[in-house]
Amino acid sequence: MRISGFHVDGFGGLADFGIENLSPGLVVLSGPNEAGKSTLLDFLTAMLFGFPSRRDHPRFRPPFRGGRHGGRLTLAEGPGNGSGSDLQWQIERYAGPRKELNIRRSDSGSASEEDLRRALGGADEALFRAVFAVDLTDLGSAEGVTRDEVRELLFSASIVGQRRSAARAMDNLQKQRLELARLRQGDARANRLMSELEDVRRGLAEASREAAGYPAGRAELARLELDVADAREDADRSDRRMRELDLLVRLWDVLERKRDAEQRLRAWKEPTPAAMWLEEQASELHALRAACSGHLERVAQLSDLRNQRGGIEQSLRAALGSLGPDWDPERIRASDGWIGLVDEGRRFREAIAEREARWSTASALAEEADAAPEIAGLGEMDGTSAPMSADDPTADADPELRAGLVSELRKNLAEQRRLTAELRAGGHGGGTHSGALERTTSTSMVLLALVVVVLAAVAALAPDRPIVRGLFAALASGGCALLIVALATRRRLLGAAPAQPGEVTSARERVTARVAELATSLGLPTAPSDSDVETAAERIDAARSRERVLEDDRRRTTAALARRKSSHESLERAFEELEAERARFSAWKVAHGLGASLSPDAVLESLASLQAAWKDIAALERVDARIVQRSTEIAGFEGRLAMLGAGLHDRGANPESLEADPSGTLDDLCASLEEVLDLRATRASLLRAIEETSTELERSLGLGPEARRLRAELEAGEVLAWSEEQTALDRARSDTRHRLEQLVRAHQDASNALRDLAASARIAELEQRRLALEQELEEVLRSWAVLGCARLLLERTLRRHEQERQPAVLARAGERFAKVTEGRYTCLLPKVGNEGGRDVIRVVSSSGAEIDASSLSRGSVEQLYLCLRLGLAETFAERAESLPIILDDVLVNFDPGRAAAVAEALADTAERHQVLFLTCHPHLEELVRGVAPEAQVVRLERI
Amino acid sequence: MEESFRIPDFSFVHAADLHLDTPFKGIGSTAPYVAEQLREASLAAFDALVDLCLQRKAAFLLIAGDIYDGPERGLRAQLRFRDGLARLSAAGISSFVVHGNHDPVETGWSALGGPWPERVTVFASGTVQAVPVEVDGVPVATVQGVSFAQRSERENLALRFAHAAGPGVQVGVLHCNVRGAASGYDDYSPCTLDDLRSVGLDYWALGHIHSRMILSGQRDSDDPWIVYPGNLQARSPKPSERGLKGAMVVHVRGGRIADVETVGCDVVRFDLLEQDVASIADLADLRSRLASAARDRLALADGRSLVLRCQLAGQGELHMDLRRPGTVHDLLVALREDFADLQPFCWWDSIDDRSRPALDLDSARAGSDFAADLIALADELHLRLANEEHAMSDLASELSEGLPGPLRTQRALERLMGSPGAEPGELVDRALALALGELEGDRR
Repeated sequence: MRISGFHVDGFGGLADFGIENLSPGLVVLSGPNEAGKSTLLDFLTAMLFGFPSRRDHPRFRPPFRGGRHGGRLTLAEGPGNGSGSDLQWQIERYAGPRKELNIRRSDSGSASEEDLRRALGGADEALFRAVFAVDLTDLGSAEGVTRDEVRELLFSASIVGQRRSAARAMDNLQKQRLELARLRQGDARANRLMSELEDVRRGLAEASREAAGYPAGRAELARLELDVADAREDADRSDRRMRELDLLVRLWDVLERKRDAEQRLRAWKEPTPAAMWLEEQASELHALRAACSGHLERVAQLSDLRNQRGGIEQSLRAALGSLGPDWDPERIRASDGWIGLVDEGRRFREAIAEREARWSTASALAEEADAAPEIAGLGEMDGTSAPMSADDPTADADPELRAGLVSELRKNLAEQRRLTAELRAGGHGGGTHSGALERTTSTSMVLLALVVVVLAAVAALAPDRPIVRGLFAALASGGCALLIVALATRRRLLGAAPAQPGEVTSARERVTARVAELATSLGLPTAPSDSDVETAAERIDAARSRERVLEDDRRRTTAALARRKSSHESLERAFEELEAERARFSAWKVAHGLGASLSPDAVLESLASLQAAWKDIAALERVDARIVQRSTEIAGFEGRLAMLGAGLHDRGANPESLEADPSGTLDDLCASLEEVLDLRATRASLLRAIEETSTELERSLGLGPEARRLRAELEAGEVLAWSEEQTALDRARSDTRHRLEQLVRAHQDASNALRDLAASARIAELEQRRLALEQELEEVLRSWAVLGCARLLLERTLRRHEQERQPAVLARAGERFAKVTEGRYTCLLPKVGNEGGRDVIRVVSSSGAEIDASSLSRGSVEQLYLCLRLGLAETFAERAESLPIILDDVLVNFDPGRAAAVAEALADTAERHQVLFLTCHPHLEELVRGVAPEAQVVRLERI
Repeated sequence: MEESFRIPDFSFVHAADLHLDTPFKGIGSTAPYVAEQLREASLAAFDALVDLCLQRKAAFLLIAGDIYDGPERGLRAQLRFRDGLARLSAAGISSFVVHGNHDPVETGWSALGGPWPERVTVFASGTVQAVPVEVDGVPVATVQGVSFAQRSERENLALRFAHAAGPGVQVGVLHCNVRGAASGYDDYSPCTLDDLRSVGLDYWALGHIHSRMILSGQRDSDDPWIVYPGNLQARSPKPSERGLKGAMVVHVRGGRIADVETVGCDVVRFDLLEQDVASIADLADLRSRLASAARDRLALADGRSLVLRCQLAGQGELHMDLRRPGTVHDLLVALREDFADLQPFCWWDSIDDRSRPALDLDSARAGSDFAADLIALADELHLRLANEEHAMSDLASELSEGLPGPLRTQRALERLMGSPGAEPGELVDRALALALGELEGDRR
């Protein structure tokens, strides 16, 4: 593979620059400084392997003289002899986000980058820059060629092809191993498992120790059971004695009570006969005592009743005195109808008073009627009628009739004048014409009104137009009114239809005659004037007024006379009623023995005295009855008291004060009775106490020897000793109980622990966990082993490759280095690699000494590494592909002799590889051309 | 033979290797509900054994050693064992017990202290003891037995037995390793079938081998029955621990052993699913196939819970997915979720990915590239491990570099080389597959 041409579109300082038809052998690219040689080296690398991904990478070189960042590179495979059999690769590559790449082969069209890489023998940029594209900086050290990736690519990848690199595979395996286990404490799986396993083992040891303690635990449990039994027995014994002592103490009290009761019973005495009799009469005694206070009250009441009787008697006497000698208590008791008499008396008094009032009122009214003015002036009015007018011939005629005549006269006069006027107008016809015109007009008005009415009626039927309907209703009303007026006018006009002149004259004559008749009736000239008529009318009106006044006066007088008559009639009736009532009252008094002269009030007073006397007699009877009752009760109580006193007296007692002070004596006797009863109760109580205590003692102590022992102990009554023993025993019991509780708790704990231990699956759990962890650890170790073995296989295979292939490289490089140094150094030792953290290459001098390459001069070192790279390039070509070698002024540090020798080596290499030799030194160009005249020289211009 | 006519028909139960209350081996962390049931499994299996005796009205129970797993003898296990025998005793069923290499007489620890329940015979070490057994007052069998005094009992204890003068069926109870019967077991109390046959007993109730085996005996044959019932409850995913585990119900008719019946007493079973990935398109397909296979296995487990281990093998593109870190673990978690909350449960213990890349090893081996060199190197390592004495320890030593100190012990190094019984070169095979897969990694 060689570079046959390129074109830089834009790259660093290069722009639109290219070279075609480069020679397959040695090509000298010569130019001054800043001609772009180093840029060209980076351009060619970028074209082959891509642009650096980072823009700040020194080899990224963005264009600063224009052009698109990138360009084209043409590669050729084949002999390059112009036969046309070469395979052409054209690579167009541009930097930028899209990283545009276009690879085309002359035989098959487009190709991928993988195809290109395969065509480059699997070499990558690192390998290319380390071995094939070298400048002075690279040449100064072996770092590039000793890197693992470069070595591995050099010695193996070219064979394996597109597989993952062995170095990366080893790295990956190692990473996986480190995830499984790490040498020191780490988070790797094995380390975690070991840590957990350690914990589990510790737990297991602990659990096993606990389990091993099971028999001891059982023995301890058995011992605790015995101890608990002993302690419980001690406690029971103490409890028993304590119960005995409690019993003794309690029974001692019972025994004491029994003894006391017995002693008191012995001291008890019988009560006296009187006391015993009282005991028998206890109920009577208590009854008397209870009734004693009532007895005393009754005695006091009797005294009060007697006083009350005296008062009533005195009142009765006063009442009898006021009634008169005819009255005595017997008559009064018999006259029990006085209540009705009082009521009747009252009614009489009220009736008489009412009649008297009525008579008095009637008298006043009669006097008033007699004094009325209408009656007083009755004589004056009789001869004073209103005088009629002397000059009025019709003054005696009815004014109303006369007024009708005047009215008719007026109408006839008016008719007369009209007819006269009509007669006068009859010769001119004007009156007829005028009437016709009026009739025409009235007819037109009738028609117009009808039209309006019809239109209004039609419009009023218009729906949904209330306002319009309202307006037309009004119009209709107006029309109707107009119609009515028109019709009236017409009727009037029609009524006054024009007459013929003869008829008018005749009518005028009749009217004139009637006027004369009427005027005459009224006392007027036959042809009265209007003033005559009016004067007559006025007179008639005055007469009519006077007539109305007179009529009013007549009506009032008639009414006053009627009233006077009526009042006198009422007065007479009132007097008659009063007299009749007085007569009935007198008859009533006589009938009831009351004084005939007594007024109604006096009658009522007499009846009040009768009532008081009657009530006194009734009260006297009631008091007497109560006096009798109280006297009887008092006598009965005093009899019972006397019997009690006699009974006591008979039994030796002397209750003298019983009569004098029954209450106090009865209290004393009751107290004595209580004493006797107390004595009796005391005896019964003592007997009961003795019986109860005896029973209690027997029941509590029981029977048998133990009971007898306790009885004896109780009888001994060592109470103090018992108390002391109780105190001591209480302390001992507390200790015993505490010990028992402790033992029971300890036994329970031990039992629980033993049960838990027996049921515990902890050992099994831990054992299972241990085995699981060991199993996992084993799997981890097995994986570790497999990973390690795989890595080992890869590593050994790689080493074997290095060992087998590296000597050939070194031999070739050593041979070339010997030539370059003219035999000063004979060969290279096969120790390329890293030693103690630094790269080491050793050379053997002509004297056989092994010399570390780092101790050589700069020029020698550069010659050594250049020879090494040429050897590597040739080895790579043998294994994979011959790639172009690009050298950037690598001869500048060499002396002329060695520079010539190296130039020869380059010329030799160029027979099998394309070598692009970049230089800015004309003498080096000359030097190369000197040793390789066939070399192609390309001149570069300063940018 | 005259005597045999008087013996009523009866049955007895033979169990061994109870390993009570011992944890399961070879299982990683489990869900709590699984852990609890696993923890109780051995005890529950023993309870099932007692129930079996009661249900079948067995004349007696024989337990041929390894009742406990170690001399420490868990307290819970001892109490449960005693209580179980007490239940049998209360039902009139005798029990005969010998101790084996896991629970020898002299090193055992007893938490019980008191005497055994009535009708329980624990045979001592040293001397074979013979005990007659009666059913309803009729002698039906004579049981002989002897316990291990120490764990490493190298004496052929079978030779101490002799045909006893006792009545009925002659039964011997012994914990021993019958040579040639099974591999992988410690050679304690070693004996041969001939040794056993020569004693003249009717039934040898043996213990020690965890696989169920009838080494001798068949119907209507005069050969003695020599029987390993296997352990009562499986304890690990090992091949010998898979499948049904339980006891033998031995039927005696007419004074002769007529039949031996296997009855499962286990509560949890182990199983292995092997799955070739060659024809599997993707992980979802793999998950589906595994789940389906697991359901089939669960259906065949007689209502027992299952602990499943899966082994992926074969070459295929799926290998590249499986070797991605975390993939196998995620698949395991997904399968566990698929079967969560089942009862009986089905617990996915692990997935062992032994798949290989879809690389034709033979072709690659014949090439001259890096892969060929890699394969050649692996082949060389295989050879060295097979032929050189120290190759394994050298490799282990090299691989242990970088491990924390406590893991760089000899035991840990042995673990590094794989589980016992595994092919020595298995590690190399897996490593080669991994390395090739890593090199293939960039392709995908």
